[in-house]
Amino acid sequence: MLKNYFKIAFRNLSKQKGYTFINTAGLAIGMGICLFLVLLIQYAVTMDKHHENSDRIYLLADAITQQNGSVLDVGISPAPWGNQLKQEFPEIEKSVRLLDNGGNVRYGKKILRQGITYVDEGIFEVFTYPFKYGTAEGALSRPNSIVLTEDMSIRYFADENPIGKFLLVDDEPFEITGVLAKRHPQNSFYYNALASFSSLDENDYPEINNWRSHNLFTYILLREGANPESIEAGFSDFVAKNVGEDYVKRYRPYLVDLEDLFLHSDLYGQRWDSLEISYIYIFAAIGLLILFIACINFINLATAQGMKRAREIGVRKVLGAYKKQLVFQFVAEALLLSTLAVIIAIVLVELALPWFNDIADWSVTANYLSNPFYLFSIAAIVVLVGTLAGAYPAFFMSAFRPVKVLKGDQVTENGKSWMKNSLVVTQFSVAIFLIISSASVENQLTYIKEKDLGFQQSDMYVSTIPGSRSIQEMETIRGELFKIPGVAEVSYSSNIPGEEAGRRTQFYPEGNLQEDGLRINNYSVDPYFLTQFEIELIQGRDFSINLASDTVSSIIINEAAARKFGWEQPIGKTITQRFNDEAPRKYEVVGVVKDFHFETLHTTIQPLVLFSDPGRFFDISIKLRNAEIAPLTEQIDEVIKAFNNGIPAWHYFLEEDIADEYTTEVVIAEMLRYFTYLTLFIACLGLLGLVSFTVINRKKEIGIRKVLGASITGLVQVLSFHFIKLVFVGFLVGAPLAYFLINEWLKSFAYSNAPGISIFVGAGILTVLIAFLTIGYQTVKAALANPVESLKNE
Amino acid sequence: MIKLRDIDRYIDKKLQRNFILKGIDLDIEEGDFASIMGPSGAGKSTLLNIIGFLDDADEGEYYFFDEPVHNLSEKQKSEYHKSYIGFVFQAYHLIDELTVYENIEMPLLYRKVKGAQRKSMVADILDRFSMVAKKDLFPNQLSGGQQQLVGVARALIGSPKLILADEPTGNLHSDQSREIMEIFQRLNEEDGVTIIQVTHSDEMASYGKRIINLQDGAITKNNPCEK
Repeated sequence: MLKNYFKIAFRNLSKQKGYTFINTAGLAIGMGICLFLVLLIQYAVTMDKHHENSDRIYLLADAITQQNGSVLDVGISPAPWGNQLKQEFPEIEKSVRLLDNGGNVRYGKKILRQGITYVDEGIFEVFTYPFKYGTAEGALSRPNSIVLTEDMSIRYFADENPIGKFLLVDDEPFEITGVLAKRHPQNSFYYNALASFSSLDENDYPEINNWRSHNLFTYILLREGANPESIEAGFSDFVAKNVGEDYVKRYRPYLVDLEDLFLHSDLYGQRWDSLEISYIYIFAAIGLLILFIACINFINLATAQGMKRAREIGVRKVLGAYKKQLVFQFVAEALLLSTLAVIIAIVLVELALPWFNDIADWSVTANYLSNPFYLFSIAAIVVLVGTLAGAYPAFFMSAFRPVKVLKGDQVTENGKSWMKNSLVVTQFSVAIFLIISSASVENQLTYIKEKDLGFQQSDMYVSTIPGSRSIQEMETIRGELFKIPGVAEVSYSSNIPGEEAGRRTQFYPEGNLQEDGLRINNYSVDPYFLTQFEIELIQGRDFSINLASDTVSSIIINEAAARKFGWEQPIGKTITQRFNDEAPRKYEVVGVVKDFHFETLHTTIQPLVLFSDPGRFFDISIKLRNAEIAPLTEQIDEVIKAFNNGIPAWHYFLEEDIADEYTTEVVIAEMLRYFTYLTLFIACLGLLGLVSFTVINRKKEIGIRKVLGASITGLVQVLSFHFIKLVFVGFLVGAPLAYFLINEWLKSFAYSNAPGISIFVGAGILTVLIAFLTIGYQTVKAALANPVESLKNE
Repeated sequence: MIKLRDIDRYIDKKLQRNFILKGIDLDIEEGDFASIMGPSGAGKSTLLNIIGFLDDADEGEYYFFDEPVHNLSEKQKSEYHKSYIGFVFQAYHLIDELTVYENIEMPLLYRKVKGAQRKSMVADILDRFSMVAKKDLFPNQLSGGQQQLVGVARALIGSPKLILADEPTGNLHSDQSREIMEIFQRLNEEDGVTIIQVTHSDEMASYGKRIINLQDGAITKNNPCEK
């Protein structure tokens, strides 16, 4: 019996090629998008879960009430807290600190600027890091030991096993005690090398005993079964006892589950990748909607198809089929089709993953063997889509009365047109929603790309000059670079705008006497910097190459800083910097620059101060004339290499680097774009199917109208108008939804460009046009048909 | 075998009731071969459908082997269908996607007949109708007469006690019609199968034993056939 069902299903599917194609393609795309999103979401929610103890690891975070009353959630905590917590709370098994510290790491002649992370020795008991060379045991128990990541080990030692060798970190020797195996792709935390925390003393790290300076990450491993809330309940006593009674109100520490860090955290100081959970919800919703649309397409087409098969159903009933058996037959057919579709879907997912991993820099794979959840999703999707989408047509068809269908009466779905109508409306609401969202996201990206950031970014080639150098040597490098034709300008600085926020230290502006001072971003730049980057000076003067005092006692601030300090006439005011235990340094404001976007457009422009301390110069920016860029950069690289012990330096084009800041947005734009195409495709397939069945059902009506003198255009109008109307209703549903969501999304930018009316109108026109083209062929064909043909066979 | 008492079948329109069948009393004994005749719209097909459980009477009583059909559930009716009745249609109603063999086999599938037995039953009937060579063809590759032969074969495969034929020769030309009628006659005489057919043709009716005349939903004549 089953064989008979499948036989007839196969023959039907292969006979009705167009119908099979529409149904399978629609379903396959819907399923493919769903499965693709299943993998992505699974990847995102299992971030960091590969650590064996991931469910017991927590980050110590703190909600700090600031002077102005606002609360800042920070992911960093003071150095002594972790250890003290462990002593006071028996539920805490382990606490480890991670402190990022930049440094020049040298091996022999190889010197590279590498961030080093200092960690407590318990790190490998908390996190699971497999080793390539050496073992976790005791790897970081002694001061000045260092464990390299595989990448860093290869950079310095190629394939050699470096254990026992010494690296110089800022000229201090560190013994290599291990090399980690390849970084797990789902590790949200990056580092180059882990050095023992015990290497640090007060000189290296003055805040090591400061109970109030939030500086490093503290991770806590709870004992099995311990409840984080019961520990958090004791935190205010902890603060009162160890930090001071006054701080109970200011510091409210809490624990963040490691597994939540990727999707649920937005903490100040965070240095790990994160993704807003709302993206997951939005894309999950989009995926389900698209699948839903594909299913409804399927239902409608199968139902319409059922009318053609009415006779078969009648015959089967007469020959003794139970209703149940017929339902089973049609559900089996739907299952067959959905199996076919899922196979195509799996192939589509395989094609999409490399593309996605490339743009998003993730490593999502469909490991069928080791990913039971994915296999389960595939099976679930086949069964769900097959039975749910198959059930309605099955019941509808099996209810045909044989007397009627065998007599040749037209079978119609009485009163079911609301279902078809709402299908078209739903499909086109989603399509229009996606078109508008996608266009608005593109619109914002264009805005970002074209926005005047307040500084010059094009043709700017950036390289690094590690190690302290004398001013003379730097001048020599400048001179060498200028010899290359095509080099227009050269400047040194500690940071490059648009690329990183710069470091924040405590400043005490004149007239501002708060105990803690203000943490302000600061750059160190040479006197050529402002001119080269075309940053506008609106008051006072630039640093001067001729004034040696500028390097120690002059400062330039931006407008935001002037506002923050409450200065109307900033020139001549003084700012004091207290850096650890060094003697306070006093700077005089000599200039004010117009605000420029030194951070991404997600944040408003923050206060910034610029010094001219050559000791902090690290980056070298070279402005190129519009020459052929490739040979030019090679020559530049050669010059810098020559001054860098023959080691090629890190280099990039600023414009590209700034563009990279918006990877998430670009990925979203790309995904939305393809989802939009596919949804439009599915919607059109559905529409095409419906129209062709409508045309068949109304053949007689069309014939009669024609005999009575209807014109071709009149007929096309009659046939199309209904569908166009539905598309319009879809617009009324989809457009406001898109408007609302896009506005929410744009709130994540401090600077944004709301989508104009043209995007909405354009989306509407585009959809109607596509819909019209889709139904046009069928309707015109029907209108052109000879009425004699359609009327005689009645 | 079949006992109809005061059967009414009607359609209610706004103010009036249109009777398709009215007050039908009919008895058909086992082994009979009856032809229902009458003008278009007389209710012939409706009567046949009611007899074949495809349609329900609005009023009246119907006993099939003394079983009150008007009280049977859908499932029981379906069961009776399968075991007692074979249908032959004017338009053959073969399933286009299935071959001759598969079309004939289908009633057996619904009767859950085992594979091997099914094979021999289908082979028997193909042999009997001399259609072995055509078993793998699809219906649209056959002539009308051949298709109706397949239709008859399909109706016979379950060895029904009753065959209901709605204008079985309506789409066929005379040679083919005669062939079908001769088969019916043989079945009736040799195998004792009861046959009720609807026909317009006196010639076809003459193959039967009895002619029932229907006009405007009522039986006007019910006489044995004059040979």
